[in-house]
Amino acid sequence: MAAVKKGKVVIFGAGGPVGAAAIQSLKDHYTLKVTDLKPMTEIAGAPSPQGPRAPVPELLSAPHENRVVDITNYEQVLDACKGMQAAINLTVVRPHPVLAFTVSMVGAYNLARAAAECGLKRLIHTGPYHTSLGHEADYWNDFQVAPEVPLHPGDDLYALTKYLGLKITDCFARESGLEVLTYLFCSFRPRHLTPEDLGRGLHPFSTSWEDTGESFLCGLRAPRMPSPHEVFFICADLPHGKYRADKAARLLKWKARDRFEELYRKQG
Amino acid sequence: MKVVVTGSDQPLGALVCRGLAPAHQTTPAGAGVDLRSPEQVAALLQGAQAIVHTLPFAPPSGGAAGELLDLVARSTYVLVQGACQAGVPRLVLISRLSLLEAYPAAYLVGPDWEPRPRPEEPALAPYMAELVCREIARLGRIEVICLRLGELDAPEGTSGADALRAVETALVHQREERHHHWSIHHVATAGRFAANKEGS
Repeated sequence: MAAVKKGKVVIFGAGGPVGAAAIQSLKDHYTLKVTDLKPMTEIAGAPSPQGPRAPVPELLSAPHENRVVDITNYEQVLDACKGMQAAINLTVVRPHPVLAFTVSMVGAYNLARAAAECGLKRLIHTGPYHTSLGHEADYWNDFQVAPEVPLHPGDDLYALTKYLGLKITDCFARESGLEVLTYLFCSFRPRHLTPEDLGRGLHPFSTSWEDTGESFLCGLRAPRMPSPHEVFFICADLPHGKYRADKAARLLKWKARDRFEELYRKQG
Repeated sequence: MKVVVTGSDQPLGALVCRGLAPAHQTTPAGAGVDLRSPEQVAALLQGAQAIVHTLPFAPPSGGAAGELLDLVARSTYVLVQGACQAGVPRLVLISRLSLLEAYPAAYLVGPDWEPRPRPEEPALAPYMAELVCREIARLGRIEVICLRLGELDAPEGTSGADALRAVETALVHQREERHHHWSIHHVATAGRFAANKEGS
């Protein structure tokens, strides 16, 4: 499939801070269908549940559209995908024993199926990269970890259900002709640093909200991928040497602007 | 050995219950037990020494889009987690050889080939069960032996006798120290996968 340089893009689970960042980066380039389980008017008017420094989605007006969509409802997902050129899946439910499965796994199935049925050019799927899950196979003690590494979610509900969703999406990419880019995230932080932040260290898999938003623009515009499903670490290129950011730079032409040197440089 | 058998209201589960009964104390778990309920699973597993999880092989059909995936994946997760908490050392998962049917029939496809299920719920459901079991087994708290079967008693499938024999073998298999807690075995009586029949 070709790059999506213009046209209509639907975002699922747009009410969170990643959605807020994506909206900012995409709104001037695409006509967006912004969807979430809650009305966007409600989300945009409230502080972020992830704290005062996490971005809140801007409420867009026409030609953009805001719509309530339940990702667990196939008919709603299918309807939202109609007429779109691309879709972005930001949905997630972390700790709930039922919704973790229905949103992260069944939701991924619904969207991949609808995207294939509607002939979308590209699907950007997203999920977590858990750097430390407390078992010996979580790669925490490794370095130069690449995005193609098989995930080992263990019994962690959040990690496992998102993993199942990713594997389902992979099946659609392989068998149905849908082109999928999966973005794996870990630690987000604001671009703007406060004096209290300086010299406090930095998680080795970190990205600013602002750079995260830009990654979606790059992902939609990137040329055809080498395979139907490519997985990317969306992280800054950091000196820790743990998580490799070069694949996103190579295939998406995305490179994080924010490397937060002030956080890992000794102060004074 | 006290063995819990899920999917006992389906032909394979019923066969396993009947076949194991002479040598084992079986506890059938059919439609009357909600395997997605941690409370019901905890009660089911009291005193159990092994589980034969046949539900992913033949789950009940019907329901809304996604219901089958949720049933199989979530019930497998709750069951395996419950088994770990109850100290049940072994689970025998019954999955499907059809996960590999995308490969050319001329290939000798074995358990070390990557599953390639069709992107459809009935094909994906046993794959989800495998992934849940594999990833939890990796933690070392339970051993999971996955038996992939063809259609039960179909001309190119797995006979009931072979299926039962494989389950019985899996229940008493002694895992060697330093071996993995997750293993896969293909059980085919006839058809394209029969060349890799267990034991051959």
